[in-house]
Amino acid sequence: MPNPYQSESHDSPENLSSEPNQDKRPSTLSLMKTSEDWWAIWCAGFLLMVCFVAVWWTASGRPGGETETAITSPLKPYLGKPAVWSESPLEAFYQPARVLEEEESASEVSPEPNSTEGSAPVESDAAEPELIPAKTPFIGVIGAFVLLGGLFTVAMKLRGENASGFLKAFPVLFLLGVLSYVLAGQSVIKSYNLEYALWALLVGLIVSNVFSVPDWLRPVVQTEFFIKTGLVLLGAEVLLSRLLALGIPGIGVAWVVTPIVLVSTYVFGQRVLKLPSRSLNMVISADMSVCGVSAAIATAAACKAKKEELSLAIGLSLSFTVVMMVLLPMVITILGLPTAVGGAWLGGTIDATGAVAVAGATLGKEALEVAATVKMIQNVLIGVTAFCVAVYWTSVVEAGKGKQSVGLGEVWYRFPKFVLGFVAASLVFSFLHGVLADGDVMVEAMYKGSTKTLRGWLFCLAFVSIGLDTRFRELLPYFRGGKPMLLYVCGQSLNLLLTFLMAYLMFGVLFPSGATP
Amino acid sequence: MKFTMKSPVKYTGRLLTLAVVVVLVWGVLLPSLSRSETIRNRNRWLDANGVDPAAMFYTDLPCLTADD
Repeated sequence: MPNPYQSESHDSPENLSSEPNQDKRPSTLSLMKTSEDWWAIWCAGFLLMVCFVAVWWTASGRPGGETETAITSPLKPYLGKPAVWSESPLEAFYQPARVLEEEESASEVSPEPNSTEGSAPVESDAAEPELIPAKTPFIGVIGAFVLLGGLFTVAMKLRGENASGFLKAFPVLFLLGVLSYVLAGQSVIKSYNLEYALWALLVGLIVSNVFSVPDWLRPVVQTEFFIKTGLVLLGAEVLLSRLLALGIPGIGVAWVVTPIVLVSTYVFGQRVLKLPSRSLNMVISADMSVCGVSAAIATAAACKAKKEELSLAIGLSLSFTVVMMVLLPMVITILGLPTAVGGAWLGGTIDATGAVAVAGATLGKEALEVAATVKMIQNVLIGVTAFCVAVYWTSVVEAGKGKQSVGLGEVWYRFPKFVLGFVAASLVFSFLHGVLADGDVMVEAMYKGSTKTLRGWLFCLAFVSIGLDTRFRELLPYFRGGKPMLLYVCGQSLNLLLTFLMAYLMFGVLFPSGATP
Repeated sequence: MKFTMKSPVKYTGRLLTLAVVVVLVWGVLLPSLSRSETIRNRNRWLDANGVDPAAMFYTDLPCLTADD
C-alpha cells in the first residue's frame, strides 16, 4: 500500500495547483493567458459582471415608487439546480401547480421539531385556498448546463487545452452532477445535513472504482479549474459588512477564537502528532475551526493540497457535524445555558452552516439567530483565512523546503493567483453592497438569482471530478494510524472549550442583553 | 491519474446492483419516510424557521436572507 505522505503535496502533479516547476518559467503575462488560476479569475469575473449587470439593468428600469425588495435577477428562471423532492425524483425537475395544503400554511415557528404546537394548524381568516404555481427547475438546469459548458469550452480553447474533448465529455460530467443533486435533494437526506458535496464525491468514486473511467472523459476532469472558479464566485458573497453583525460579542467568538483554534490545531498536528502532510493538517484545521466544507475547499486550493486530502477532510467534517448537530443542543439543554450563549457555542463549533442552523433552531429563535450569525461571520473569515494560508504557504512552507531565501518574485510566482480574484470579488461586491444606492438589494439579488447557483454547480462538478480521479486504495492509507481523526478530535475539543468560555464571557457575562442581532 | 476502458459487459452486474440499490433507497425507502408524520413535521419546522440543513454558506440560509 503506497504511503500518501512520502512526498510533499505541492510536488505532486495531482494536487490543487498546476503551476509548472521548471527553471525557465513563463512570464506573468504568459500565465495570464494559459494558467487555470488566472482563467478561473477571468471566467468568474465574466460571470459576475454579466450577473450583476443583469440585476443593475433590471433595477434601473424599475418605476420609482417600487420598494427595494422588488429586485430579482432576470437570470433566475434560467439558472437553477434540481429542486428538493419528497415522493418522486421527477419533482426535482418539474412540479405541477397545486393548492397549498392547510397544514403547510401553518408556518408558526415552534421551538421543537416534534412539538405539538408546530403541527397544529393556524387559524386563518383567508377562506380561499392558495394556489402554488407550477415549478420548472429543469429550465434552470438546462440553462446552467449551456452557460457553464459554453464558457468552459471557450476557456479551454483559449488556454490551448483540449476544448473539443472537453465539450464532448461535459454532458456526462454534468449528468453525474445532476444525479448528485437529485440524490442530495431528497427531503429526508437534505434534512439531515448530507450536503451535495458528499454525494458528488460518492458518485464520482463509484463510477471510477466500480466501472472505471474511459479515456474520452479525461479532458473534462478539471477539478482545480472548477473549484477555483467557484471560489472566486464565492468571493462575491463574502461581504465584509457581515463581520460586525454581532458587534463585540461576535468579534470575541468568531474573530478571536477561530484563528486561535486554527493555528493551535495546525501546530499541534505538526509538533505533537507529527502529521507528515502539512497540507492535510492545514485543511483539517481550517475546516474544523472555520466553517466546514467551504473552508476546506478554499484552504485546500490555497495550500495546494492533494484531492485525497480534501476528500478526507470533508468526510471527517461531515461525519462529526452530523453527530454534533444532534448532541450539542442536548448538552446545552442539560447544562441549562442561556440560549444566546448556547447559540454562540453552536455557531462557533459545528462545522457546517446548515447544521448550525438546525441545531440553533432546536433551541429556539434567539439561539438560531445568534448561532447563524456567528457562523456567518466565520463564513466571511474564509477570505482572510485563504489569503493568509496562501501567503504562509508560498513564503514559509515552500520556501523552507528549498532551504534557501525566497524573494518577493518567487513568492509572487508561487502564490495561487485565484486567491487574488477571491479577495478582489469580496472587496468589489462589499463596496457595491455598502456604497451603491440599492447596492445591498442588487448584490443580494445577484447571488440569490444567479452566482450562488453557478457556484454550487462548479463545486458539484469539482467533487464529481475528484471522485472520478480518485481510487479507494489511494484514500485508505490516509487513515493509517488514525492521525487525521485524532487531529480533528483534539482540535474540535479545544474549539469546544475555548468557544464555550468566550461565548459565556461575551453573551453570558459582559453582554447578556442585546446579544440578539 | 490513470484512466482505463474496460469491457462494459464485465460491469453489467455491478451496474444493475447499484441501480437496484438506488431505486430501492431513493425510490421506495426515502419517499415512504418522507410521508411519515415525523419527517413532515420536521420539514415544516425547518421551513418555518428558514433553515436549509444542507446550507454550505450563509447565503444558502433563508433565515439570514429575509426575502428568500
